[in-house]
Amino acid sequence: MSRILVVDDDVDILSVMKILLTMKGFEVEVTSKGEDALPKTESFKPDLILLDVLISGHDGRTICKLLKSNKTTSHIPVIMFSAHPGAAATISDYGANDFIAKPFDVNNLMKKVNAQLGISAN
Amino acid sequence: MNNEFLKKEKLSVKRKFPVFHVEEEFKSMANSAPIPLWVSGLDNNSSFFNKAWLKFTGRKLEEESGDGWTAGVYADDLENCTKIYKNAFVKQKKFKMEYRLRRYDGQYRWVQDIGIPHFTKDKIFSGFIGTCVDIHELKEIEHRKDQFIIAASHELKTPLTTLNIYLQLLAEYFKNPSQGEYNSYISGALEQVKKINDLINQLLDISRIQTGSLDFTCSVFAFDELVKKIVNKIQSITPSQKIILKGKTNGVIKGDGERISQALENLLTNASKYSKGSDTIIVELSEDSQYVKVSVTDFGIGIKKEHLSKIFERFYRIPGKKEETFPGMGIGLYLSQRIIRKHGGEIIAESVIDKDTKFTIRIPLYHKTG
Repeated sequence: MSRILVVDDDVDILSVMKILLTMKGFEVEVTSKGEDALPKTESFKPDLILLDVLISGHDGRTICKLLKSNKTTSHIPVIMFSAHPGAAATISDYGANDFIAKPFDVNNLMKKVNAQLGISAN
Repeated sequence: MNNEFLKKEKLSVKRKFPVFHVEEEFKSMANSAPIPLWVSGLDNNSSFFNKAWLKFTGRKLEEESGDGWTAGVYADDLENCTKIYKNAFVKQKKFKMEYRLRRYDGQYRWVQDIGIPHFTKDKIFSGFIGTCVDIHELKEIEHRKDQFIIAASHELKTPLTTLNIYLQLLAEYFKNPSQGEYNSYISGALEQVKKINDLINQLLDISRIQTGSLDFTCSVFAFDELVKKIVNKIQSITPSQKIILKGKTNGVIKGDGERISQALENLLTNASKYSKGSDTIIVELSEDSQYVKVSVTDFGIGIKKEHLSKIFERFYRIPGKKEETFPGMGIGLYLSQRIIRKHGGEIIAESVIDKDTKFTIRIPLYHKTG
């Protein structure tokens, strides 16, 4: 069972994402605090991280850069998401693997998740 | 010889005196004016600044004269400012520009500078006269408003994201064909979520255009393909109206396909919205040596001449009992025009009231196929 960590400062999004991803067969951990992203990644050891671009008090892109520059976490794919579609243009500079704009289509999200995890759609 | 000389002198005095008199009178009046004024001659150098200007900048007339005034222009604004100013002189046409100008206390203030060409009685260009108004507070309010729209859009999108996922989870739960009724309710709700999201995106785009942060991702593509795709898309959601596509081009353009589609979709949905009672919309493709064009004609209520120049303004809604029954925020045409202008093109509107309305998008050709 693949593990996914979701980092977003909105607890409602975290709760629905947990329901959705659990339903899709993943083991899910969530956090609403930017400063918890790295310790949670180190303890939970996710196969994929879903990371919001704007997290209260933190820039998700900086967190992404931190994860990608840390030896123990740099291999983990990161999909960033944001309510600002324009943010897509900037995320690759921080090492993110993909981007999805909010509000997103569940099928589209699952395609991107599966692609990063190397899971075939069938 | 002597008589000739005297005659010439008399003429010269006659000519000079009234001019001198008018100039002095003008300067006296200008110095009493409450807003900064400037005058420049044929050499495009500024020769006069009134007292209000000198009070604003805290400098002397000798310091401001010629191009001395540009020393007070904020470094980042100087290039654009000089370009507009010099260009206006070449074209001898009215100009309007905004830039930051150093005030007497060292603070840079946003000003709006409007210059009007001046012509003699014989219609000979003699320079420019202009006014310069402090719009700093207005700019700050505008900026706060744009920031508010960006923040509000973000806040609105967050619960919308959650709602959207819950609805999609429900759709999955009710996907059994025997529960088709529930499924159609959920599809309806999801469509409405999409509509709200589109409206928020339009508001966001407006703010981004204002702040210069609207992103464009350019590629090279065949113009006709894009038009056909959008026509088919709009036709599928407005089955009661017939969209007739005429003409063709061999044009290939360079631009942001998504954004150009957004502009064309806007014209088509407007045509559909304002042509209730008429079931035909004509979309026509054409080209010339420089541009590819697509026009959208509807046979609806039409637009009065006095509104035609204003419909591309931000938040402009045509007043009138009939017009006010049509919903909208007055941002679609503004946004569309700005998108097309970003591509070096233009949207042109023509209309005959109660007969037809034609919007034409023209975009520079990148090259032709074949």
